[in-house]
Amino acid sequence: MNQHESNAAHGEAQDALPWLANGSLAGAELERVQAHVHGCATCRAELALLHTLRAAGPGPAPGLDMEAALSRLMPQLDGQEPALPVQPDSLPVQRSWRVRLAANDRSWLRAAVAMQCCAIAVLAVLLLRPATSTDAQAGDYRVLGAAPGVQHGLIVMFKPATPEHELRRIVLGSGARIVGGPTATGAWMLGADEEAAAVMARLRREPAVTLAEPFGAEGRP
Amino acid sequence: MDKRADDTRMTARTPEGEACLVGRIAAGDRIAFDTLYRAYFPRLGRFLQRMTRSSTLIEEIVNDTLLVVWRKAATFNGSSKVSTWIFAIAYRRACKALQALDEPVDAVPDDVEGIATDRPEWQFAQLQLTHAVDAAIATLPLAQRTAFQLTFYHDMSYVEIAEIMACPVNTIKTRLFHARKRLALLLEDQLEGRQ
Repeated sequence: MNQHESNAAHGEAQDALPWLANGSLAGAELERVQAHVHGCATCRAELALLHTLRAAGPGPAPGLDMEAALSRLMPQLDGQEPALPVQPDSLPVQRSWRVRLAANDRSWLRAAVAMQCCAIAVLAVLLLRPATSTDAQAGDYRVLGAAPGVQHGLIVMFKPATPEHELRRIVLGSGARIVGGPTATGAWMLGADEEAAAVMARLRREPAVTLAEPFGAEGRP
Repeated sequence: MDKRADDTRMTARTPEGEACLVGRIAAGDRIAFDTLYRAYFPRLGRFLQRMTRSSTLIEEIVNDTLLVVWRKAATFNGSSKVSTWIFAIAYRRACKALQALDEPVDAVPDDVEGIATDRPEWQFAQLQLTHAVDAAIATLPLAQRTAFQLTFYHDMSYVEIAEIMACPVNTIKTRLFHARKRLALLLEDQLEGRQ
């Protein structure tokens, strides 16, 4: 054993000595620590000290009256029957706040995804709202990503795990072509020569498509 | 008490028996609750006497803890030992009670050497090692004191203690390391020649 390994073994043994003394150490850790302590005078002395401390432990707590305390508690049980069993996922005692806030916790992740979908839908509706007098000129220009000659635009979102070849198959199968995207939110803009409603219906039949909405004639937002 | 109560007391002596008791408590079995209460009152009493000197408060915290056990027995899913679950409840209850009373939960003396010379009761306690250890442990910060006594006087593994105190295992090891060094310093005279 080299010096580095020897120091590491000593450090591990020093940390584990209290649990070697109380007998709760087990398995490979127990074997390693015992082997080190056998050959280390410092650890043996420390272990002896811990045994002394353990032997000098406290006696029964003075001044406590168990019968009196129990007789005070029993009447309180009447108004507080045990709660019905609940699913382990919702156990408040077992789940700390750190667990509840974990990124893979389904309880709030579902709600977050649902809220995200709602937000996307609201944004899509805002994109599709009829032009008002203030933005009547909006149709006079074309977005940079819009291909010339495209008559009908659609905004489409796919499930995040959709592979590229699947995405390509869906777009080609719908009769549309990609004219823009992906945006920061993962949306793609498609252009189609035929009616947007028909293309949209084909897209919506695909399980990997999470959103398919008309984008407005000639790519007008 | 009848034979059923005696049988119940027998089952309380193993971790599996305790889990069985908790299951019966979840179904509203008061004999099982009585048994668990009697098994844990002394253990929790010894645990809590390191946190507060008030017998009334200790009994109150024990009762609060066991009342939670009564109400929440159905939520115990066996992922930990019953003792770990109950001690964790007691630890949280005690911290809450001490904070409510504004008692110092981290009583750290300013001067370690000063304890021996400035406090006659501590000098008197030196006459017996048990009393000296008791007095020395009382000077540890609450977190170190709790980890120390769960290790040495309740024989718990560091994994169980980490669960009870809701902190990483390495934190428990570090707390024990500092507690040991402090106690070795405080008890230097008493421990000399005993090893």
